[in-house]
Amino acid sequence: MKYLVLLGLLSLGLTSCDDLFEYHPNQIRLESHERDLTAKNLARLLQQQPGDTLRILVMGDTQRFYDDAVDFVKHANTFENIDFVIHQGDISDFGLTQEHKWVHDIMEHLEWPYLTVVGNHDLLANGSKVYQQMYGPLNYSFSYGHTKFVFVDTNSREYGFNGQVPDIGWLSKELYQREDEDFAQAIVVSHVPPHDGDFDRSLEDAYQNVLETSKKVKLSLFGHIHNFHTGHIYDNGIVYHGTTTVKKRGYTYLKVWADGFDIKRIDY
Amino acid sequence: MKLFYTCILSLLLCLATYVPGFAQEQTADTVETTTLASPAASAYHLKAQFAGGIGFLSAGVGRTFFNEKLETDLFLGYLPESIGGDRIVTSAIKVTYRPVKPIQLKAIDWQPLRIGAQVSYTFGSDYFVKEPGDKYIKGYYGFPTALHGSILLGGQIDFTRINKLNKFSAYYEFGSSMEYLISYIQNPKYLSPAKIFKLALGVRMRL
Repeated sequence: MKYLVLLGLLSLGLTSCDDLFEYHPNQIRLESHERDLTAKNLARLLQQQPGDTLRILVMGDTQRFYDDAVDFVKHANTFENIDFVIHQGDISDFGLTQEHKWVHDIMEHLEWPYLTVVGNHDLLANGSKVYQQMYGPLNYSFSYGHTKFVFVDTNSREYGFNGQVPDIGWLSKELYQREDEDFAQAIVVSHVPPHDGDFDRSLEDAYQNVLETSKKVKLSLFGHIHNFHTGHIYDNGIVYHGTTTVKKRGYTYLKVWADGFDIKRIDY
Repeated sequence: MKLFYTCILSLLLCLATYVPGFAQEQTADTVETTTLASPAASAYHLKAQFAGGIGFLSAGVGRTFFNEKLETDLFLGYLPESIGGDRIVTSAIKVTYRPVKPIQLKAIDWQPLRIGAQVSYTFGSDYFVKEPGDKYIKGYYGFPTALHGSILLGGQIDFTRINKLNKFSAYYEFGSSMEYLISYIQNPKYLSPAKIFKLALGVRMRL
């Protein structure tokens, strides 16, 4: 009888735990609803009908700040007519799968699709594999309405400043309008901004040059600095806008129309 | 750090291979001098473990101190890519302590509580103990990705008075890494002990 009670208690304990067994903190074990999230969110987004004005919420650097992320989702869901949410990267703090799973568990309560750009913390340990299995490619783009969104990995330091990150060749292909494309403007989304010490200095000019000569980029979004920052970094008319971390309980409400945009900082 | 672990591993493996002979002699003596079924306890043991943050399966050698109250182990664990999504080799040092006496239940002894700590080291170029100086300024991240400290809460069932199994025990262990623990302390609303504690199961054979 005692054994039965013991067994009962034990099995009760077992079933009440999420992901009860962990083989390793760096294991990449994902359920099907935790895989290919970029493709899934894009499929959802592209089913929506974009208006003349796109409404986007931009947040990021969730790292270890789950309670603040939960509150962000609650606050964000009070809006109406949002097209999608951008996570500016550093989804995780230690690059562990479990952290990504927790953040997704929180973000999937958003009323809208969310898209992520990879952050330097997300590339720690085997994090690059985690990100690619859970979200998808490190560089990707899509057009929605009149605007093309280009998400690019700019975490050069994590690659030892090897001269290949950010991928300038890929970026130029995405930003120079192809014949089969028709977009009024392009918004470049990265985690590390080009003037940051974690961005490859040898690629800063080339990166700028691509953005500028495409003549499509008026706005570039970034995270990483855990503060709001909006301004012209270079003398090329492009506005760089950094969104703070959820820990500081702030995010950006971005409106985009064919030839312009409006940035509003929101505290919660 | 790798060298350090290799040294400890080789030392313990040497001990482990040396000990069985020693233990057998001792057991033989004991059988002659006592009529009780329980043989004299060797201080050394082997373990096989499932999960627990150091591989799908891991093997350990260890020894006990203070009448089995304190136990130390060295583990080597393996996680194949087919199960873990990535192939990962890990070593770990574990220390557990038995704060309360075992409870006798017919043929078995139940240790309702063992508390402990574990430090694991993950092999491979993806992981660092100290941020590589050629990539990062000192203290850029401030935590190692190759080392994980954990706290452990568990228990053990010793098959003390079961014939042929009296050298064996089965244990269960809930462990949380420091990363999860810090996350829980800072996020008590979203996280909970059920989210951060992970279960390991194992068997122990006294040598």
